[in-house]
Amino acid sequence: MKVLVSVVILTWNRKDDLLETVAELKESTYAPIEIIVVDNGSNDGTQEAINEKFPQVNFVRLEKNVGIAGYNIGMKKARGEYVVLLDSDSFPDESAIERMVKIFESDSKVGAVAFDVHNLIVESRESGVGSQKSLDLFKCKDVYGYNGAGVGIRKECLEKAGYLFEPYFLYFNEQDHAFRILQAGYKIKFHPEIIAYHKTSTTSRVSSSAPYFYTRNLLWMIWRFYPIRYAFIATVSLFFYASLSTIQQRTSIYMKAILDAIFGFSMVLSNRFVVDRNIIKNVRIPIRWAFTAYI
Amino acid sequence: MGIYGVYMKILFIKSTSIQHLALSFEKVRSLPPPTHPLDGCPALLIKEGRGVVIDVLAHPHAVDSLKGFGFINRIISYNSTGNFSPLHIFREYMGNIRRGKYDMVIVPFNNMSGSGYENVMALAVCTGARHIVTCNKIGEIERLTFKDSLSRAVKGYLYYPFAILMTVVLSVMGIVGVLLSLVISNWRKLPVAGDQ
Repeated sequence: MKVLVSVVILTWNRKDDLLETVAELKESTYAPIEIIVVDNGSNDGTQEAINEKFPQVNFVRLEKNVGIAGYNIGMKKARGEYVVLLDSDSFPDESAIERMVKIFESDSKVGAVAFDVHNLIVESRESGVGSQKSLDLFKCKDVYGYNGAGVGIRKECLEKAGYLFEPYFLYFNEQDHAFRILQAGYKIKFHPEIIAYHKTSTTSRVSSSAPYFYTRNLLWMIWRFYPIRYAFIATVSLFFYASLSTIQQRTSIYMKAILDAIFGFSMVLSNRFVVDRNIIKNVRIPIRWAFTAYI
Repeated sequence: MGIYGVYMKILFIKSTSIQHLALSFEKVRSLPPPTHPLDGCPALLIKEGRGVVIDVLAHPHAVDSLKGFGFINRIISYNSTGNFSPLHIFREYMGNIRRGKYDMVIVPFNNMSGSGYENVMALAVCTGARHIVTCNKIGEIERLTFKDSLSRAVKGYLYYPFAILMTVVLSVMGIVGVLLSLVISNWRKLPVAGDQ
């Protein structure tokens, strides 16, 4: 008998994308699948549209936007042995969940399966391998992070490694979570034939709040997980790039983020969880990228 | 032989995500055909799939993904996980890259202005390529002269001394702020009279 897989989708005012995502999930070659949609307080008729077209979806409406905490609400409701996290504008290839389950069942130490997320804006769906039903497990490789637009997590691993760190609100929650999954002794596997499609355009995520969250959360993540020496070096590097970007881009947003990060230091300290140096060495955190992405 | 002859050599610097690099490939492909050889537009050659040699300079973690682009002639792996550093590049690769005699270097930006990419611009300048083309976040192409490119790179680096000074101030403020944050949080936890 096949195990239940729960799919948790977090959404906020993306009705059309969400409908497409749920419709695509219905094409999955795997069953049974439980779909949980957590709505961060949309006001575009998302709930009505889902209730009308997909009444079997477990719809959780929140009164306000709580950011990534919505995923935690969905994951705690999940009854499946494995939980798939999706953005409302991403969806898995029809064979992805079936393949994911095979990988989980091949090794109980696999805590998460990172999907190969293809950007539909620049890549066609034909670039995927949905038509191939075979799965070569030798193509699996260990990775040190995952993309939140497509990942499967073992429920048991969630219980041990914990859920997403809610103070982030958005951004860097995946890497934070990946650190804890690895530190809990689980592996994160990536397989190029387990695909999710993401509709993020190169322009759609331009947001004035993004540089703020990137900077603040990056500092928090460094302080939470890095051994002291690494944390010190990374913090000074980050301060330097924030200073440089403040001058170059003539904005105060990075300074505000740093200030807020510092004021949250005690909270971060009480949640500090140092990971092995080997993990840190293998993770490539693009510190500078956070300052060049938006302006 | 370059743009005056049979083929043209283009170096893409993978300074952004693989998705954005793919966008840059598309945008460069759709450049209008050249009206004069000095314009150096590769459009016709690329569209016809001949006469163009495309190399990509990329970090090691991106090499596997880039192999999916069948039209790439050579992937030059940057042997470091850190930012592109002109100094490092100069020491390790520049001989190799300069020997490649590129006609054009494409610099993709992950933002609109190119702010923060002075290291990549400096790298592009160092290649000795005749044409430097930038592609911003939304795929807008800008062709720069050597002088413009050099000016952008130098201007970016001119801010560094100020940034270093600011970093020192910020670090001192950070330490004070962290201590304050700890004091405040401990103060909140202090028992008040009447607590058991």
